[in-house]
Amino acid sequence: MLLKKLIKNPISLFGLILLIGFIFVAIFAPQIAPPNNPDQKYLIPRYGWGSTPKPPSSEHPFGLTEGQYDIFYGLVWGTRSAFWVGLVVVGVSCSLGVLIGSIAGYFGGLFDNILMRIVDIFMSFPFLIAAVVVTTILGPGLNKVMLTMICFYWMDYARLIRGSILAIKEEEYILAAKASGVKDWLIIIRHVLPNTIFPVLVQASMNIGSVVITAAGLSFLGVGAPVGYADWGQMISMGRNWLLGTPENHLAYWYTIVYPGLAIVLFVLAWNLIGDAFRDVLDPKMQS
Amino acid sequence: MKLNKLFLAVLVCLLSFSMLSFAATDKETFVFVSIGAGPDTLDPALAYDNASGEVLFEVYDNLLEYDGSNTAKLLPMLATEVPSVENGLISKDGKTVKFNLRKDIKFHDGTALTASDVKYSLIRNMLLDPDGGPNWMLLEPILGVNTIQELVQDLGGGEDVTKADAKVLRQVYDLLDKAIITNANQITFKLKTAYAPFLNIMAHSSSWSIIYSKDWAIKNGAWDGKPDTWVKWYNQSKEQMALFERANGTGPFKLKVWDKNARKVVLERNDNYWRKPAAFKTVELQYIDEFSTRKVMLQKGDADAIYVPLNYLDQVQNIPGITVIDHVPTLTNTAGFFNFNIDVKGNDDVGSGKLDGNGIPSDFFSDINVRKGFLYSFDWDAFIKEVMMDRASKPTGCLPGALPFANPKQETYSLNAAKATEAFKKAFDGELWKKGFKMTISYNSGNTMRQTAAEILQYNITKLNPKFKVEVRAVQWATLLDNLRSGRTTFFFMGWIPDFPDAHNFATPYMHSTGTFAGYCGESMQKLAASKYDPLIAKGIAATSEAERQEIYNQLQKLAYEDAIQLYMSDNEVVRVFKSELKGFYPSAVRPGEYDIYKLYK
Amino acid sequence: MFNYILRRLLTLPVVILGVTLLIFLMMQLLSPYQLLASYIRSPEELKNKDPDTLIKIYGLDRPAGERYIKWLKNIVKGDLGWSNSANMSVVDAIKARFPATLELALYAVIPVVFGGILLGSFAAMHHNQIGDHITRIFSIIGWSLPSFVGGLFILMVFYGVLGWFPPGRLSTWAYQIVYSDQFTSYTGMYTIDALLNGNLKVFWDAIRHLIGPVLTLSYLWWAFIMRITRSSMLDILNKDYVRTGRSKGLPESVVIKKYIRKNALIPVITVGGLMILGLLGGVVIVETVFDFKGIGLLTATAAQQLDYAAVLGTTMFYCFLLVIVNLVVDILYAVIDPRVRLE
Repeated sequence: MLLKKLIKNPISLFGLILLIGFIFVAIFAPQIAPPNNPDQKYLIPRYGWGSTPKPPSSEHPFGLTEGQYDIFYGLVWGTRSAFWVGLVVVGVSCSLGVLIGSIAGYFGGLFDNILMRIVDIFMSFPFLIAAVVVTTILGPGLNKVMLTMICFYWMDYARLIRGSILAIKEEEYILAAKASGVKDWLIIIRHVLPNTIFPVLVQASMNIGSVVITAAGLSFLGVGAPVGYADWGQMISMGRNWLLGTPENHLAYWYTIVYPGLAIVLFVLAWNLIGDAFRDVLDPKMQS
Repeated sequence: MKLNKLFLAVLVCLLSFSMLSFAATDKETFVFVSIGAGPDTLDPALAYDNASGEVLFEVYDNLLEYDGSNTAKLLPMLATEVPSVENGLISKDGKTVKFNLRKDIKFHDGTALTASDVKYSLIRNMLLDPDGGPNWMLLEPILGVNTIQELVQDLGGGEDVTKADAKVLRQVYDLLDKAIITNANQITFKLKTAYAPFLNIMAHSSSWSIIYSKDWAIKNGAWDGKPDTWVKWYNQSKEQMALFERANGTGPFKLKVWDKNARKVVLERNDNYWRKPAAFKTVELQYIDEFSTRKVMLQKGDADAIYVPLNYLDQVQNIPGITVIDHVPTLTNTAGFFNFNIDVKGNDDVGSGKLDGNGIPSDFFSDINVRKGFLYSFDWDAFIKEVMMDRASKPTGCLPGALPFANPKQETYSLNAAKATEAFKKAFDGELWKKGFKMTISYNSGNTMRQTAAEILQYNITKLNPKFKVEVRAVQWATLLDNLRSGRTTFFFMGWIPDFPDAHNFATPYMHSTGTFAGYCGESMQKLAASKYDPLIAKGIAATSEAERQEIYNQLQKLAYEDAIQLYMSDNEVVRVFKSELKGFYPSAVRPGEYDIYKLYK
Repeated sequence: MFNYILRRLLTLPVVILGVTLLIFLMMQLLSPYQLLASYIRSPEELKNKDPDTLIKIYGLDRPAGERYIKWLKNIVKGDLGWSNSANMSVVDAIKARFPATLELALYAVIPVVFGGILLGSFAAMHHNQIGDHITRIFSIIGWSLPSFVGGLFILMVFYGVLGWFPPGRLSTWAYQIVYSDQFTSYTGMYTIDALLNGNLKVFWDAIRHLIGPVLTLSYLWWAFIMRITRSSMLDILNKDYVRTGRSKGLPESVVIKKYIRKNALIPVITVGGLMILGLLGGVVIVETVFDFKGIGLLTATAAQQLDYAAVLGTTMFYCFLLVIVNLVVDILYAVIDPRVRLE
């Protein structure tokens, strides 16, 4: 049913195909780009010591970026990193946010006050700055970046769901359920969440994309994945100083930005398209 | 629809204004865009970094200056002639040096330069002696100590200068007062010992010996010049120091604005300069980290010159209207250092911390054969050709090839798998070869040159024996600093930027037991240095004849080779990139900034 | 209502204290030598700076609690400490840098909010029609484009190739005017200062420098606001009361105005708070790309150099700002949706 609807809409179909493609690449990474050193699969191999990027060749289909890192290898293994970062960060922070937000919104009062003050404290850090501060303190590395993002990502969900719950809390069916003595947690799960979760889920699916972008942004600022790690953001920042090309040819090093840039954009696009379609398909109120 | 039209109108308006290309820089303006955060401080008693030195270079003068690119020849600047034994301004024993001051020179505020300004400038720098400042360079030749604190302690004033007896403090002043004597327009320095590079220390490019106005400094809250009060100003922090943000010199440019937020320094021509006034009315020094931005600014004419790191050189070559001066020699060099006594406790970089194939023991690099194995595993050719893009040369020791007393004939190590294997087989009586080892080389993240150097070592060493495992890890500078200080680094890279062009300024940091690098290389290295190198270094600076000095420094370089103490990676070169209409550039290995802006014109 | 606001304002110090405590606790993960990174910025500086002496001078070896209390005491005196990375006192740095960011955010917010809401409702009204698809694709691509790629691209095209919108805040010649005695600085926002000084040339120059970063910032957030508006409008379009309104035969424009847009604004306002937060934080990357010296760049540089005085100071400042923004958001909530009572 769900799948049928997704397939029927050409836009979401495109997203779905993209996503399946990425899943395929992630699963078969060892076959697509066999690592030289199985112990360090996520380190992109270097083919020389120089700095200037080399254009695509039969040996290196996407070329070599700054430092002679193989772009194709980095993209293939970077797909795994992207899934890992996106899914874990969004999964964990979303569950955490929904839990806290629905408790705060539904029960209100002191609970709400305390929880929202905690949210305030966490939200008082602009996200990127918080991430920079924490990753600087914890040191570089993908896992630390993820931990940081979880710490500062859950509040969005909490606030969003709390806002929606506040808006529907007074609606008749909830009041009726309350009056008839249904347990609070049952009300939350049966009535409140189904009617409020969709904006959150839509945002969660979009956020998988933005999480990947943020991780890339941290690499751009020099506090993300370590140098040489298969991570798209890292690869864009490697190409960053070559963006303007040489004087004769402004696009001389296009492959250093275009391939990793395309990978990120398509990956995020896939999630966003699906998230958008999900919203229309899944929402029970849209069925009629 | 109405909204759309309004929007469109605004857009058209904006675009038309955007297209009015305002003339970028005119004939009387010079804009140089460099990297970093800009000057640290403008107080000459503390300024020690290139960005600060660059500004002070343009605003102030010294007694002497270098003859253009030639660092071996000095010319008079504020002095009337260069002191020498021949003209009688240097005594035969080399301990007395005299300068005659030029007349009719005015500071930017209009007051006249006198000998007492010279005396005050130098004495103030030495007395204030803030931590991290350059004043050891003055203190060493003049008083024979490295810090004022050391002197106070020698005089019996205890460890804390601020708590020392008033008599001791007075004594310190008196010593300085007797060492620098003014007589009308003459300044006489009485040195502790003969000190070959003393004139270099007094020459333009040395911000610690620039001359500022005494009255102006006192008016702005600096030390009042009295013998008993200086301790109030002793070792202040940067922002407390009186001259932190202000400047008043005799130089060709006046400081107009130091805008720390916009990261720029604006200088204005000094029309009353005692030589011909400069060609530029306005000079702007900007600091932008992003290379792409700097490059576009140059292309668009918003900048007259930019800093270009070697690895981006390709991007600025062959642009019409842009000049690239290639292969500019410098006196900076880079080396790799072995830690002879690694702290293995809780240290991720040494694996198990034992000689069991899964780590390295604390004294890993105390074994000369291990060091030799590493040295024979570094590929200089690949490093210089690919990483340094041929803009570097292979050093023969810690003295850069361009420096007097470097020995071009000194034997060096080079990539040699057979010899490396032989050395590793001898290490730890053959145990190492049998069991293998595992270690990590860390470098400060962002420094791709050092990363690659480490990876070259890794590639060649792990090829020798499958049991040899070397990892290369990027750590943040803060972490590396922590590791260095606590002795946890295994092998690390550092560069040296000289203070003055003399062999002594290289031999000391590299080879002296109390030198900059020894502190991070472990006790065994310090002991080795104290017994073998320290005496030679002391002889080297006190010797007065060139031949004698050459002999001593040859010996030091030979010992460094035999003992395989350090991996001398490269003598560095740089490039200078500027608009072709800019004339008057000359390279200099000692100048803190890229340009002598006074000599430039369009 | 008044009580509610007062109560929220009273919790402000608690939140600020919590924030600073959190940062201070995190700093405890660092060794004293690591904290020196803002005093010794590169291996080369080791030549003249002794880590052990510096640690003593700055009291970095003192217990965390002691340092925290000392820091708090200074705050009460209005002293946020010295920022090594900015080379000036933290208070001065914030004073000097904030107007730049505010200027940027103000110029970005206007097109974002109005354009975003209009486009969003347009898309929702034409659900699954061609207009919807186009705006959706437009917004999704915007949301999928990392701001540093977008920013560098804008810089490349509009500065590198066309030479229109240079990086920085002002051109060299305009700085010379600003630094001169004839120019008085009122707000630190160059567009406003220029108008107040009656200097149109400087005004246009400042605008020229703003377009690149504003474009980068607003494209991203435009997409964001648009999709949130669209989502929540679609949500509400299917609500009973809207259907009732329609079935009663009310004109579509009345339905949209009266029922839909107003209700659809609730999530937009929630997100509006987030957006201001995001704009203030997101300027980090945009400011880096365009070399726009605002407070985001200040904090990022400070964090990278572990300049904790500046990190704490600016974060506190943010915190203060954001608590107020959140308060405004909550009040707006109550105004728009009377069902939410401010207890």
